[in-house]
Amino acid sequence: MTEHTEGHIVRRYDGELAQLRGMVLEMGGLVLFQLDQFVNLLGNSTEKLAKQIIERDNDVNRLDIESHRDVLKLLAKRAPVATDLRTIISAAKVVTELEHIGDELVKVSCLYIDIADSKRPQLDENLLQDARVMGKMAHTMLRGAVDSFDTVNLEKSIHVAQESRELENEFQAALQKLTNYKSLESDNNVSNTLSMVLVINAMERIGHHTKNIAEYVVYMAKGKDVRHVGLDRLFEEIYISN
Amino acid sequence: METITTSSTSVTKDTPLMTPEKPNEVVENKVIDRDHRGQTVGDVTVENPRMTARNVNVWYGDKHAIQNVNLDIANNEVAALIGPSGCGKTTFLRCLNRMNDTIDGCLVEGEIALDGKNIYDKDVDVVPLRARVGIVFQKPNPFPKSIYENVAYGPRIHGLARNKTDLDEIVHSSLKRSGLFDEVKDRLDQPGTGLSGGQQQRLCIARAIAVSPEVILMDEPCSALDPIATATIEELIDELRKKYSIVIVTHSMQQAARVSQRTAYFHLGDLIEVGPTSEIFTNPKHKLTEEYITGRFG
Repeated sequence: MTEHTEGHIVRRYDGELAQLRGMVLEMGGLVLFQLDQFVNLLGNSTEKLAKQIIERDNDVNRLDIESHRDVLKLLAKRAPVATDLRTIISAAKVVTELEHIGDELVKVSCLYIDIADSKRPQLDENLLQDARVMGKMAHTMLRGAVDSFDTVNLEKSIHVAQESRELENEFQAALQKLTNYKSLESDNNVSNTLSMVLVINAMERIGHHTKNIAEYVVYMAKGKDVRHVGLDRLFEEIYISN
Repeated sequence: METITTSSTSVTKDTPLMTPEKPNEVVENKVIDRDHRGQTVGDVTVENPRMTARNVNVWYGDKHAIQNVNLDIANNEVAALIGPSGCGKTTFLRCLNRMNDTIDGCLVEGEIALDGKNIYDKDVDVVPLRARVGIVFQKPNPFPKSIYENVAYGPRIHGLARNKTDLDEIVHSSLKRSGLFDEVKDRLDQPGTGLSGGQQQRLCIARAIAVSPEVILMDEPCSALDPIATATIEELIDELRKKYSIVIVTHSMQQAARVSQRTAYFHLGDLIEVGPTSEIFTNPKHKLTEEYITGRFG
């Protein structure tokens, strides 16, 4: 691979870059764990689990702040160029996306606590099923995106982009299903249905942020900006263009 | 050209939503052949060349210092030549106004044209050539004369002023264009050597400008200056670009990135890569360029 994290004449620079990458991966691992916990929460409605997710987001935020501090230091001290510059900028962008994913999970966890607190009936399995499927898809995508950043593996990036489209389709289908939900007449069911709309919307957003991460990996490796392009163009940039 | 393959699961036709058919390998976008000779990565030509260098080879005795270099210098452009010590960038710069003629044992082959005319043709007089293609060196080297005389010397010997009024006008306008006039207007009769380093370098630039050049060559013009004087010179270079073509040799990557529009990377006498500065410093195509500018080899 063309990406270097080692080999500078100034060895401390290598250490600083490795530290930044390590911090991004630590944050990626933590957000993955948070998403996994949220998927577990769906159907095992425990307030405690939701509160743990909310509390743990403080660690995500701390890593966000520390990573950006390191990015600023690297920019100021090393005046990075070429692959180093792209690595640092991509790391900063990936961190921001991870932080957004963390925020989405906090938002839906808060929603879950509201549901648990209220006198509403339990969410029925029909409502939960699609959210669980989307949560698992988003989790697979995020794991692929974090792996692709770790190993600078562009094939994984392309997989993530493909999965993002599948998740989007799943979102549309789930939304349609909720609109036609047969028990919508009851007020309680309306609230639950609305809550689930927000949950599946959050899963869709997480998929979107994850796709962005995969695109930043492509930029890091190839110097090509593949945001806001279709799959065909992404494919072309990775496999064909020079 | 070398390609890379990743070890991950390959994308196949069975992969959902895969639109085009997948070629076998991820395409590597770096040229990494280190034995590559004579073929520069990137476009060496420009639409509006002021100077063109074709198949330039330079020998210092037995040493082949520059190998088959082709490069255009555009109008109103700052071109930066970068590369490790001994890569040939200064040698190439000095070819552009035949400064290498003064070095015993130096042989220059190929064609270097200024406005279409080969400057190495036998009928070319180097004195007017060096007025048209001026040079500013690493270390400021004002003549041991007054500030006024430093600037007036060139126009006087080239017969560019008909009278004292003309000469005054040339000296004043040159000093103004080099950003020095306001600082020295009350002491034009004082020795140029009494100025600060940055001022002396601007005096040398004024001296080059005074003979109405088309191209200004700069050989590490800021390496002996502090950051403030460097910033002043860089601002001046940006200003001068509107009227002249500028070629600058610099060891400072950041300076090349700041002042130039095109960057050329030399390595062991080869011109490895040429490209828009913004691309060279964000996504160079040749591995040697990348390794050099990111500080992975010296």
